[in-house]
Amino acid sequence: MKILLLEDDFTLSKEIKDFLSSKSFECYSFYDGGLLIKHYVPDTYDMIILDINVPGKNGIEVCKAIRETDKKTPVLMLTAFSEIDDKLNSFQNGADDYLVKPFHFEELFARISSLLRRKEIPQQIQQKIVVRDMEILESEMKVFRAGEEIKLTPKEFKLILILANANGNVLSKQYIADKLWDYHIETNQNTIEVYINFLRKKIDKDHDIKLIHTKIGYGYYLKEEE
Amino acid sequence: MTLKNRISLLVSLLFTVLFGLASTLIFVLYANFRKEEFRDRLEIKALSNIKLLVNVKEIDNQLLKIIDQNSINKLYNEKTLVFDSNYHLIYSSIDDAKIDWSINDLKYLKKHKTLFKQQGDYEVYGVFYDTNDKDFYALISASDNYGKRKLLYLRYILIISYVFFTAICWIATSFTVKKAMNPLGIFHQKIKKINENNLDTRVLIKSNRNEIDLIANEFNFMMDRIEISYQKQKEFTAHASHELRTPLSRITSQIENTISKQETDTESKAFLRNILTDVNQLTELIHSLLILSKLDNKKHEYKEAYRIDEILFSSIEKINKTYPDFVILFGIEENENLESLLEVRGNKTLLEIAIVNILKNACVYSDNKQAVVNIRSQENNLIISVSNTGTTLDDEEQKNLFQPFMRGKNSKGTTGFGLGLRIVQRILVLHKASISYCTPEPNTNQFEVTFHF
Repeated sequence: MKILLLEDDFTLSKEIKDFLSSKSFECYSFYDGGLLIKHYVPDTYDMIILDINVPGKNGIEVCKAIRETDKKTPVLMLTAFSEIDDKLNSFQNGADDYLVKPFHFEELFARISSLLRRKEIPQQIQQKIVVRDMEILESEMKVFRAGEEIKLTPKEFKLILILANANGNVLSKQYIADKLWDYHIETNQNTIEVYINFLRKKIDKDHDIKLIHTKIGYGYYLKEEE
Repeated sequence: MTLKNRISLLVSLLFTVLFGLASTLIFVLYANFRKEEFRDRLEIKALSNIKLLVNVKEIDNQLLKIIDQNSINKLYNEKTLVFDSNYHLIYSSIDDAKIDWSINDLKYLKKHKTLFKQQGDYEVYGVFYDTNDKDFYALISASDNYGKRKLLYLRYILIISYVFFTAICWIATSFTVKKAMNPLGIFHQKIKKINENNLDTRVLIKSNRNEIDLIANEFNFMMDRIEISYQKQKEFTAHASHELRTPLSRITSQIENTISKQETDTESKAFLRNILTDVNQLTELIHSLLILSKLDNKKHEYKEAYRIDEILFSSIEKINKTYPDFVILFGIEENENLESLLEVRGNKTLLEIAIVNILKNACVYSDNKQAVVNIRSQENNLIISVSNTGTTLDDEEQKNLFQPFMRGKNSKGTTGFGLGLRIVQRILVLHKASISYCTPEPNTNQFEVTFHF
């Protein structure tokens, strides 16, 4: 795997190179943004790591220039600037991820691996779950009822997905709680009721046919009709 | 007493006194003028009576009385007495009015030629008339009803105008001074509200170029200088924090690479790990200082609304990367308007930093790696409580809890710089929210974040 690195600090550049070599990557480094653009050959590298504050052209300009000819190669920005505007600016100019200095090599490696994995995985086929007039687009995290999009929070979306994936079977509150939150969060059953109510207000409130049902004393299920 | 009240009181008092003095002077001068004028009239009348009686042979007592009675110049309640050189009364007008006189009056008259005295309501004028062969004395008395009525009328006018205009003066002065001093009041209100978050406050200057405008102008110049130096100070912290990141990365990467090398012996690895821990702490401190320097910015009117429970969940996810054993017991209280209260307008990143810091605190200071997080609403406020069991803070520590670099006795053996809660408080203030600490039960620390709606 070939990685292109733009970092003007010689020591840091050398250390990153050493680390990447230890992880069996071939690392090619540049210290000047202008030079990198001049010598860049599209689709030659598997991954590009760019520092923002470098001589010549800065990392964001370099990223923008690369994206004109190369849309695929993942770009990871590496910088001392941690402001949200700096991050947004990087993403708007084609970066795929962002790592703030100082960082640990473990995290750098994790992000590189994640970006490479994403590159290799082909575009997922759109999976659509339909329950009567409700449509759930899982990959886009969108829910429609009677053709109208319903804005759900990530947790509410996860909840409707858990109910929808049960294919109309009743799910206990405990089961829902275990699926909804990871092992770091423990909740009581009342909390599940609160989130089911939030969901009901958004999914069922304005419709005569209710989709979310309660099985008293046990749990909840999602079905076209009772 | 305020300057405004003092000026209006002084001006009003000054006017009251001066107008009072002026009115009194006018009255006294007019009273004297009336007296002089009436004396002149009495003199003319007395002399004319004597001359008619002495010089005109055809006129005797009876005729003079008839002339007196029909004279158009007759004074009100007039009485005339004429005496010869032996002080014998040779003529007395027919009026009922009386003149109290004595020989001494006539002797005084002979010596001083004229006499004028007040006798009850009447004024008496005496004149000594000297012909070649005989001396005559005339005493004439009358009441100056017209003059006195004019004087009385003048007195009423002066009293009424004094009361009326003094009252007007008090009201007008108070109003005018208040209006004139109004810019100073606005100035005062603006200055009172200035703090590090609104150093861009400036006072509106009108083109009057009066003293207040001049002060306001100088004040604005002063604020410019303060704002620039404050900005420079903040930028210094921000730039210094940025600049420190690259050498820290260099140190971290070199240490990590050396640790991972097989040829590095175990002792050196342990030594390098200790240094790495210190570097991590330093990184954390720089990160905190950078956040604090950025938080000094002015208050924003946040437009974007975020669900605070979602921010809480992502914060838990983040904290679990650093503290994988940390468990949150999460609860939410059902309420009719809870869903709308959960929508908080603000900066998502900052709110996440605040919640991560509170959770981190709960984790670091808990004795069982657990924290209880509850969301509830109370009187249209949203309250997030985070509690953990462990050593609690004493009263003195609680007072300084949100001060920078404050670390409690329970922080022994834990890493940190005492900036976390300071950052939390600053972020919450920016979001019109507040944080408080309490110990609901022995050995239980509880932080309550309240979002006010």
